[in-house]
Amino acid sequence: MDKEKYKAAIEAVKFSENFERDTIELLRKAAGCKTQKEKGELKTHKIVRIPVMIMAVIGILAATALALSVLMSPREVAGKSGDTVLAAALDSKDAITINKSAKAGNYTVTLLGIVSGKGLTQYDKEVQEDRSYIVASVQYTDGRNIKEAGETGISFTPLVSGYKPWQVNAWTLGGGYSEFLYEGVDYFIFDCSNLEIFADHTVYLAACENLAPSAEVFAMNGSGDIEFVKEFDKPHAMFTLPFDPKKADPAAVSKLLKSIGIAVQ
Amino acid sequence: MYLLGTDEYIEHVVKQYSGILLRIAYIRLKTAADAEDAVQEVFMKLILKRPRFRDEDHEKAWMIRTTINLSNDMLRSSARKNVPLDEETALPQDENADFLFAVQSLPAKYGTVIHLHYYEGYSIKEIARILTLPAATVGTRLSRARALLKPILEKEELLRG
Repeated sequence: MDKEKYKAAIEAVKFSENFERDTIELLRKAAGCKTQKEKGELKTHKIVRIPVMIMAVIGILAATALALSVLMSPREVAGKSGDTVLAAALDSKDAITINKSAKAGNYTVTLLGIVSGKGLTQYDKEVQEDRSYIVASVQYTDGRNIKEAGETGISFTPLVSGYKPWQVNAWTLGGGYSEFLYEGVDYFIFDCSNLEIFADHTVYLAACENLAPSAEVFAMNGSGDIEFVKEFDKPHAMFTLPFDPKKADPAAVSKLLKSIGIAVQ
Repeated sequence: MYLLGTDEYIEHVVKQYSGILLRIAYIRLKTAADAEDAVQEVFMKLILKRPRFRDEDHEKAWMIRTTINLSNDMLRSSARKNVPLDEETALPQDENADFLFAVQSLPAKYGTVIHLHYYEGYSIKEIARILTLPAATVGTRLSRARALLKPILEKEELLRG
Protein backbone atom coordinates (compact mmCIF):
# COMPACT_ATOMS: atom_id res chain seq x y z
CA MET A 1 0.00 0.00 0.00
CA ASP A 2 1.57 3.25 -1.15
CA LYS A 3 0.51 5.83 1.41
CA GLU A 4 1.40 8.84 -0.74
CA LYS A 5 -0.48 7.58 -3.77
CA TYR A 6 -3.54 6.81 -1.64
CA LYS A 7 -3.37 10.31 -0.17
CA ALA A 8 -3.09 11.82 -3.65
CA ALA A 9 -6.13 9.84 -4.79
CA ILE A 10 -8.19 11.08 -1.85
CA GLU A 11 -7.06 14.66 -2.41
CA ALA A 12 -8.31 14.42 -6.00
CA VAL A 13 -11.90 13.82 -4.84
CA LYS A 14 -13.89 17.00 -5.35
CA PHE A 15 -16.61 17.94 -2.91
CA SER A 16 -18.94 20.92 -3.33
CA GLU A 17 -17.08 24.18 -2.91
CA ASN A 18 -19.95 25.55 -0.86
CA PHE A 19 -20.41 22.51 1.37
CA GLU A 20 -19.25 24.22 4.55
CA ARG A 21 -21.19 27.42 3.88
CA ASP A 22 -24.39 25.54 2.97
CA THR A 23 -24.07 23.22 5.97
CA ILE A 24 -23.55 26.10 8.40
CA GLU A 25 -26.64 27.76 6.93
CA LEU A 26 -28.67 24.55 7.23
CA LEU A 27 -27.65 24.03 10.85
CA ARG A 28 -28.31 27.64 11.76
CA LYS A 29 -31.80 27.31 10.36
CA ALA A 30 -32.38 24.05 12.27
CA ALA A 31 -31.15 25.60 15.51
CA GLY A 32 -32.93 28.88 14.92
CA CYS A 33 -36.42 27.92 13.77
CA LYS A 34 -37.68 27.55 17.33
CA THR A 35 -36.35 30.97 18.19
CA GLN A 36 -38.46 32.47 15.42
CA LYS A 37 -41.46 30.55 16.72
CA GLU A 38 -40.81 31.89 20.19
CA LYS A 39 -40.68 35.44 18.93
CA GLY A 40 -43.87 35.05 16.95
CA GLU A 41 -45.99 33.20 19.45
CA LEU A 42 -44.79 33.92 22.92
CA LYS A 43 -45.78 37.51 23.35
CA THR A 44 -49.26 36.50 24.41
CA HIS A 45 -48.11 33.52 26.45
CA LYS A 46 -50.10 32.87 29.54
CA ILE A 47 -49.15 30.38 32.21
CA VAL A 48 -51.88 27.90 33.04
CA ARG A 49 -51.39 26.33 36.42
CA ILE A 50 -52.69 22.81 36.96
CA PRO A 51 -52.88 20.61 40.04
CA VAL A 52 -49.41 19.13 40.25
CA MET A 53 -50.28 16.13 42.39
CA ILE A 54 -53.06 14.97 40.05
CA MET A 55 -50.70 15.09 37.09
CA ALA A 56 -47.99 13.28 39.00
CA VAL A 57 -50.38 10.42 39.79
CA ILE A 58 -51.47 10.18 36.16
CA GLY A 59 -47.84 10.12 35.10
CA ILE A 60 -46.98 7.35 37.51
CA LEU A 61 -49.92 5.26 36.32
CA ALA A 62 -48.93 5.78 32.70
CA ALA A 63 -45.37 4.73 33.36
CA THR A 64 -45.89 1.04 33.83
CA ALA A 65 -43.43 -1.07 35.75
CA LEU A 66 -41.68 -2.89 32.93
CA ALA A 67 -38.15 -3.06 34.25
CA LEU A 68 -36.54 -6.03 32.54
CA SER A 69 -33.18 -6.56 34.05
CA VAL A 70 -31.32 -5.25 37.01
CA LEU A 71 -30.34 -1.76 36.02
CA MET A 72 -27.60 0.26 37.60
CA SER A 73 -28.63 2.78 40.22
CA PRO A 74 -28.31 6.50 39.35
CA ARG A 75 -25.18 6.67 41.49
CA GLU A 76 -23.65 3.70 39.71
CA VAL A 77 -24.44 5.20 36.30
CA ALA A 78 -22.70 8.47 37.16
CA GLY A 79 -19.79 6.57 38.69
CA LYS A 80 -19.44 4.39 35.61
CA SER A 81 -19.41 7.52 33.43
CA GLY A 82 -16.45 8.74 35.46
CA ASP A 83 -18.24 11.59 37.23
CA THR A 84 -17.62 10.86 40.90
CA VAL A 85 -18.96 14.24 42.03
CA LEU A 86 -22.31 13.59 40.35
CA ALA A 87 -22.30 10.02 41.67
CA ALA A 88 -22.04 11.36 45.22
CA ALA A 89 -24.79 13.93 44.53
CA LEU A 90 -27.09 11.18 43.24
CA ASP A 91 -26.53 9.34 46.49
CA SER A 92 -27.34 12.36 48.64
CA LYS A 93 -30.58 13.19 50.45
CA ASP A 94 -31.38 15.79 47.77
CA ALA A 95 -31.49 13.16 45.03
CA ILE A 96 -34.76 11.55 43.94
CA THR A 97 -34.63 7.88 43.03
CA ILE A 98 -37.49 7.02 40.68
CA ASN A 99 -36.96 3.74 38.80
CA LYS A 100 -40.11 3.93 36.62
CA SER A 101 -40.25 2.26 33.23
CA ALA A 102 -42.42 2.80 30.18
CA LYS A 103 -42.60 1.09 26.80
CA ALA A 104 -41.53 3.06 23.73
CA GLY A 105 -41.97 0.95 20.60
CA ASN A 106 -39.57 -1.97 20.92
CA TYR A 107 -37.76 -0.29 23.77
CA THR A 108 -38.25 0.10 27.49
CA VAL A 109 -37.21 3.48 28.80
CA THR A 110 -36.49 3.75 32.51
CA LEU A 111 -36.27 6.98 34.45
CA LEU A 112 -33.82 6.13 37.20
CA GLY A 113 -33.30 9.29 39.20
CA ILE A 114 -32.72 13.04 39.39
CA VAL A 115 -30.67 15.48 41.34
CA SER A 116 -30.61 19.27 41.05
CA GLY A 117 -28.26 21.94 42.29
CA LYS A 118 -25.01 23.78 41.75
CA GLY A 119 -21.57 22.24 41.30
CA LEU A 120 -22.86 18.68 41.04
CA THR A 121 -20.49 17.54 38.34
CA GLN A 122 -16.74 17.44 38.19
CA TYR A 123 -16.94 18.67 34.59
CA ASP A 124 -18.51 21.97 35.65
CA LYS A 125 -16.47 23.01 38.67
CA GLU A 126 -15.68 26.50 37.39
CA VAL A 127 -19.09 27.52 36.11
CA GLN A 128 -21.10 26.12 39.05
CA GLU A 129 -24.36 26.30 37.13
CA ASP A 130 -27.64 25.46 38.81
CA ARG A 131 -28.75 22.38 36.87
CA SER A 132 -30.83 19.21 36.99
CA TYR A 133 -29.21 15.86 36.19
CA ILE A 134 -31.57 13.13 35.06
CA VAL A 135 -30.40 9.53 34.81
CA ALA A 136 -32.27 7.21 32.45
CA SER A 137 -31.78 4.02 30.49
CA VAL A 138 -33.04 2.50 27.24
CA GLN A 139 -33.11 -1.22 26.52
CA TYR A 140 -34.87 -3.62 24.18
CA THR A 141 -38.07 -4.91 25.76
CA ASP A 142 -37.48 -8.40 24.34
CA GLY A 143 -34.16 -8.68 26.16
CA ARG A 144 -31.90 -8.26 23.13
CA ASN A 145 -28.73 -6.30 23.72
CA ILE A 146 -28.30 -2.84 22.26
CA LYS A 147 -25.06 -3.09 20.31
CA GLU A 148 -23.98 0.51 20.15
CA ALA A 149 -24.70 3.59 22.27
CA GLY A 150 -27.19 5.79 20.42
CA GLU A 151 -28.41 3.13 17.98
CA THR A 152 -31.99 3.47 19.24
CA GLY A 153 -32.14 7.15 18.27
CA ILE A 154 -33.98 7.86 21.54
CA SER A 155 -33.29 11.24 23.07
CA PHE A 156 -34.82 13.21 25.93
CA THR A 157 -36.37 16.58 26.61
CA PRO A 158 -37.97 18.05 29.70
CA LEU A 159 -41.30 19.83 29.17
CA VAL A 160 -43.34 21.92 31.57
CA SER A 161 -47.13 22.07 31.71
CA GLY A 162 -48.47 25.43 30.68
CA TYR A 163 -45.47 26.15 28.47
CA LYS A 164 -45.54 25.22 24.81
CA PRO A 165 -43.17 22.31 24.15
CA TRP A 166 -41.45 24.17 21.34
CA GLN A 167 -40.75 27.03 23.74
CA VAL A 168 -39.56 25.29 26.91
CA ASN A 169 -37.57 22.17 26.08
CA ALA A 170 -34.09 20.63 26.04
CA TRP A 171 -32.83 23.26 23.61
CA THR A 172 -34.11 26.37 25.34
CA LEU A 173 -33.12 24.99 28.75
CA GLY A 174 -29.54 24.40 27.59
CA GLY A 175 -29.93 20.63 27.71
CA GLY A 176 -27.42 18.01 26.66
CA TYR A 177 -26.57 14.46 27.52
CA SER A 178 -23.85 11.88 27.74
CA GLU A 179 -24.48 8.20 27.19
CA PHE A 180 -22.71 4.90 27.37
CA LEU A 181 -23.53 1.28 26.78
CA TYR A 182 -23.22 -1.28 29.55
CA GLU A 183 -24.34 -4.91 29.29
CA GLY A 184 -26.64 -4.15 26.34
CA VAL A 185 -28.36 -1.21 28.06
CA ASP A 186 -27.92 2.38 26.89
CA TYR A 187 -27.53 4.69 29.92
CA PHE A 188 -28.08 8.43 29.70
CA ILE A 189 -27.23 11.35 31.94
CA PHE A 190 -29.25 14.31 30.72
CA ASP A 191 -28.64 17.74 32.18
CA CYS A 192 -30.28 21.13 31.75
CA SER A 193 -31.17 24.26 33.73
CA ASN A 194 -32.56 23.43 37.18
CA LEU A 195 -36.07 22.06 36.65
CA GLU A 196 -37.09 22.21 40.31
CA ILE A 197 -37.90 25.90 39.90
CA PHE A 198 -40.89 24.75 37.78
CA ALA A 199 -42.11 22.43 40.56
CA ASP A 200 -45.49 24.18 40.92
CA HIS A 201 -46.23 22.89 37.40
CA THR A 202 -46.11 19.35 36.11
CA VAL A 203 -42.60 18.78 34.80
CA TYR A 204 -42.32 16.01 32.23
CA LEU A 205 -39.48 14.07 30.73
CA ALA A 206 -40.32 13.04 27.16
CA ALA A 207 -38.30 10.35 25.43
CA CYS A 208 -38.62 9.71 21.75
CA GLU A 209 -36.76 8.98 18.57
CA ASN A 210 -34.98 11.95 16.99
CA LEU A 211 -36.64 14.47 19.17
CA ALA A 212 -37.25 17.98 17.89
CA PRO A 213 -40.04 19.44 20.01
CA SER A 214 -42.70 20.74 17.65
CA ALA A 215 -46.45 20.77 17.15
CA GLU A 216 -46.06 17.61 15.04
CA VAL A 217 -44.82 15.74 18.10
CA PHE A 218 -46.46 17.36 21.14
CA ALA A 219 -49.84 18.86 21.91
CA MET A 220 -50.89 20.98 24.88
CA ASN A 221 -54.53 21.11 25.93
CA GLY A 222 -56.41 24.00 27.49
CA SER A 223 -55.29 22.99 30.98
CA GLY A 224 -51.65 23.11 29.99
CA ASP A 225 -51.34 19.32 30.01
CA ILE A 226 -48.78 18.06 27.46
CA GLU A 227 -48.89 14.78 25.58
CA PHE A 228 -47.62 13.23 22.37
CA VAL A 229 -49.94 13.84 19.43
CA LYS A 230 -51.93 10.72 18.55
CA GLU A 231 -50.47 10.60 15.02
CA PHE A 232 -46.89 10.46 16.29
CA ASP A 233 -45.85 6.90 15.50
CA LYS A 234 -42.17 6.79 16.46
CA PRO A 235 -41.14 5.12 19.73
CA HIS A 236 -42.00 7.48 22.60
CA ALA A 237 -42.66 7.63 26.32
CA MET A 238 -43.54 10.35 28.79
CA PHE A 239 -42.71 10.57 32.48
CA THR A 240 -43.53 13.12 35.13
CA LEU A 241 -40.77 14.27 37.43
CA PRO A 242 -41.79 14.09 41.11
CA PHE A 243 -40.43 17.40 42.33
CA ASP A 244 -41.46 18.87 45.65
CA PRO A 245 -43.81 21.80 44.82
CA LYS A 246 -42.23 23.71 47.71
CA LYS A 247 -39.08 23.99 45.64
CA ALA A 248 -40.86 26.03 42.96
CA ASP A 249 -39.30 29.41 42.39
CA PRO A 250 -41.51 31.57 40.14
CA ALA A 251 -39.06 34.47 40.29
CA ALA A 252 -36.25 32.22 39.04
CA VAL A 253 -38.59 30.89 36.32
CA SER A 254 -39.35 34.43 35.12
CA LYS A 255 -35.65 35.25 35.10
CA LEU A 256 -34.80 32.06 33.21
CA LEU A 257 -37.56 32.54 30.63
CA LYS A 258 -36.50 36.14 30.12
CA SER A 259 -32.91 35.02 29.58
CA ILE A 260 -33.98 32.65 26.80
CA GLY A 261 -36.18 35.25 25.15
CA ILE A 262 -39.58 34.08 26.34
CA ALA A 263 -41.94 36.82 27.44
CA VAL A 264 -44.36 35.78 30.19
CA GLN A 265 -47.43 37.80 31.05
CA MET B 1 -14.89 26.87 24.59
CA TYR B 2 -18.07 26.98 22.52
CA LEU B 3 -21.65 26.81 23.72
CA LEU B 4 -23.70 24.06 22.06
CA GLY B 5 -26.12 25.26 19.43
CA THR B 6 -24.70 28.75 19.07
CA ASP B 7 -23.61 30.19 15.72
CA GLU B 8 -20.00 30.03 16.86
CA TYR B 9 -20.28 26.36 17.78
CA ILE B 10 -21.94 25.49 14.47
CA GLU B 11 -19.22 27.26 12.51
CA HIS B 12 -16.52 25.65 14.63
CA VAL B 13 -17.71 22.05 14.21
CA VAL B 14 -18.43 22.39 10.50
CA LYS B 15 -15.03 23.91 9.75
CA GLN B 16 -13.22 21.56 12.09
CA TYR B 17 -14.74 18.26 10.97
CA SER B 18 -16.15 18.61 7.43
CA GLY B 19 -12.93 17.47 5.72
CA ILE B 20 -12.27 14.32 7.72
CA LEU B 21 -15.94 13.29 7.84
CA LEU B 22 -16.48 13.81 4.09
CA ARG B 23 -13.46 11.64 3.31
CA ILE B 24 -14.60 8.89 5.68
CA ALA B 25 -18.14 8.92 4.24
CA TYR B 26 -16.76 8.95 0.70
CA ILE B 27 -14.76 5.77 1.32
CA ARG B 28 -18.01 3.94 2.04
CA LEU B 29 -20.50 5.72 -0.19
CA LYS B 30 -18.28 6.24 -3.26
CA THR B 31 -19.85 9.51 -4.41
CA ALA B 32 -19.20 13.02 -3.18
CA ALA B 33 -22.92 13.88 -3.19
CA ASP B 34 -23.83 10.95 -0.94
CA ALA B 35 -20.89 11.68 1.35
CA GLU B 36 -22.11 15.28 1.68
CA ASP B 37 -25.65 14.10 2.51
CA ALA B 38 -24.32 11.74 5.16
CA VAL B 39 -22.09 14.35 6.76
CA GLN B 40 -24.86 16.95 6.84
CA GLU B 41 -27.00 14.38 8.62
CA VAL B 42 -24.23 13.80 11.17
CA PHE B 43 -24.08 17.54 11.89
CA MET B 44 -27.88 17.69 12.16
CA LYS B 45 -27.77 14.84 14.63
CA LEU B 46 -25.17 16.70 16.66
CA ILE B 47 -27.26 19.87 16.77
CA LEU B 48 -30.57 18.13 17.45
CA LYS B 49 -29.37 15.54 19.99
CA ARG B 50 -26.76 17.72 21.72
CA PRO B 51 -24.49 15.02 23.09
CA ARG B 52 -22.09 16.08 25.87
CA PHE B 53 -18.39 15.50 25.23
CA ARG B 54 -15.65 15.17 27.79
CA ASP B 55 -13.10 16.81 25.51
CA GLU B 56 -12.27 17.38 21.85
CA ASP B 57 -11.04 13.80 21.34
CA HIS B 58 -14.36 12.47 22.61
CA GLU B 59 -16.20 14.86 20.28
CA LYS B 60 -14.10 13.82 17.27
CA ALA B 61 -14.55 10.11 18.01
CA TRP B 62 -18.33 10.59 18.21
CA MET B 63 -18.37 12.46 14.89
CA ILE B 64 -16.30 9.77 13.15
CA ARG B 65 -18.32 6.85 14.57
CA THR B 66 -21.61 8.52 13.69
CA THR B 67 -20.39 9.15 10.14
CA ILE B 68 -19.35 5.52 9.72
CA ASN B 69 -22.67 4.26 11.09
CA LEU B 70 -24.76 6.63 9.00
CA SER B 71 -22.81 5.76 5.85
CA ASN B 72 -23.35 2.06 6.53
CA ASP B 73 -27.07 2.69 7.13
CA MET B 74 -27.33 4.56 3.83
CA LEU B 75 -25.61 1.72 2.01
CA ARG B 76 -27.83 -0.90 3.62
CA SER B 77 -30.96 1.06 2.88
CA SER B 78 -30.03 1.59 -0.79
CA ALA B 79 -29.10 -2.09 -1.15
CA ARG B 80 -32.48 -3.09 0.28
CA LYS B 81 -34.27 -0.89 -2.20
CA ASN B 82 -31.91 -2.12 -4.92
CA VAL B 83 -31.19 1.37 -6.16
CA PRO B 84 -27.87 3.14 -6.58
CA LEU B 85 -27.29 5.84 -3.99
CA ASP B 86 -26.55 8.43 -6.62
CA GLU B 87 -26.85 8.01 -10.37
CA GLU B 88 -24.28 10.67 -11.11
CA THR B 89 -21.24 8.99 -9.68
CA ALA B 90 -18.31 11.28 -10.37
CA LEU B 91 -15.16 9.20 -10.30
CA PRO B 92 -11.95 10.99 -9.42
CA GLN B 93 -9.80 11.46 -12.53
CA ASP B 94 -6.53 10.93 -10.74
CA GLU B 95 -3.73 8.64 -11.85
CA ASN B 96 -3.71 7.16 -8.34
CA ALA B 97 -7.42 6.48 -8.29
CA ASP B 98 -6.77 2.73 -8.33
CA PHE B 99 -5.62 2.98 -4.73
CA LEU B 100 -8.85 4.63 -3.76
CA PHE B 101 -11.01 2.10 -5.64
CA ALA B 102 -9.07 -0.74 -4.03
CA VAL B 103 -9.75 0.60 -0.52
CA GLN B 104 -13.40 1.22 -1.40
CA SER B 105 -13.74 -2.37 -2.58
CA LEU B 106 -12.76 -3.71 0.85
CA PRO B 107 -15.41 -4.74 3.38
CA ALA B 108 -16.43 -1.69 5.48
CA LYS B 109 -14.54 -2.68 8.62
CA TYR B 110 -11.25 -2.96 6.72
CA GLY B 111 -11.66 0.13 4.52
CA THR B 112 -12.28 2.34 7.54
CA VAL B 113 -9.14 1.33 9.44
CA ILE B 114 -6.99 1.59 6.32
CA HIS B 115 -8.26 5.10 5.69
CA LEU B 116 -7.91 6.25 9.30
CA HIS B 117 -4.37 4.88 9.41
CA TYR B 118 -3.00 5.80 5.99
CA TYR B 119 -4.75 9.07 5.31
CA GLU B 120 -5.73 10.55 8.64
CA GLY B 121 -2.53 9.30 10.26
CA TYR B 122 -4.04 7.69 13.36
CA SER B 123 -2.10 5.03 15.23
CA ILE B 124 -3.65 1.65 16.00
CA LYS B 125 -4.23 2.77 19.58
CA GLU B 126 -5.99 5.96 18.46
CA ILE B 127 -8.18 4.09 15.98
CA ALA B 128 -9.11 1.63 18.73
CA ARG B 129 -10.20 4.55 20.91
CA ILE B 130 -12.22 6.18 18.13
CA LEU B 131 -13.99 2.98 17.08
CA THR B 132 -14.27 1.70 20.67
CA LEU B 133 -12.53 -1.54 19.70
CA PRO B 134 -9.65 -3.43 21.32
CA ALA B 135 -6.30 -2.35 19.82
CA ALA B 136 -5.59 -5.99 18.91
CA THR B 137 -8.74 -6.09 16.77
CA VAL B 138 -7.70 -2.92 14.94
CA GLY B 139 -4.22 -4.38 14.37
CA THR B 140 -5.71 -7.57 12.94
CA ARG B 141 -8.07 -5.62 10.68
CA LEU B 142 -5.20 -3.51 9.41
CA SER B 143 -3.03 -6.49 8.51
CA ARG B 144 -5.97 -8.36 6.91
CA ALA B 145 -6.83 -5.23 4.94
CA ARG B 146 -3.25 -4.98 3.68
CA ALA B 147 -3.35 -8.64 2.67
CA LEU B 148 -6.61 -8.11 0.80
CA LEU B 149 -5.31 -4.99 -0.93
CA LYS B 150 -2.11 -6.57 -2.21
CA PRO B 151 -3.57 -8.79 -4.96
CA ILE B 152 -6.04 -6.09 -6.00
CA LEU B 153 -3.31 -3.50 -6.44
CA GLU B 154 -0.99 -5.99 -8.18
CA LYS B 155 -3.75 -6.83 -10.64
CA GLU B 156 -4.34 -3.14 -11.36
CA GLU B 157 -0.61 -2.67 -11.89
CA LEU B 158 -0.56 -5.56 -14.38
CA LEU B 159 -3.58 -4.19 -16.25
CA ARG B 160 -1.92 -0.82 -16.60
CA GLY B 161 1.52 -2.17 -17.34
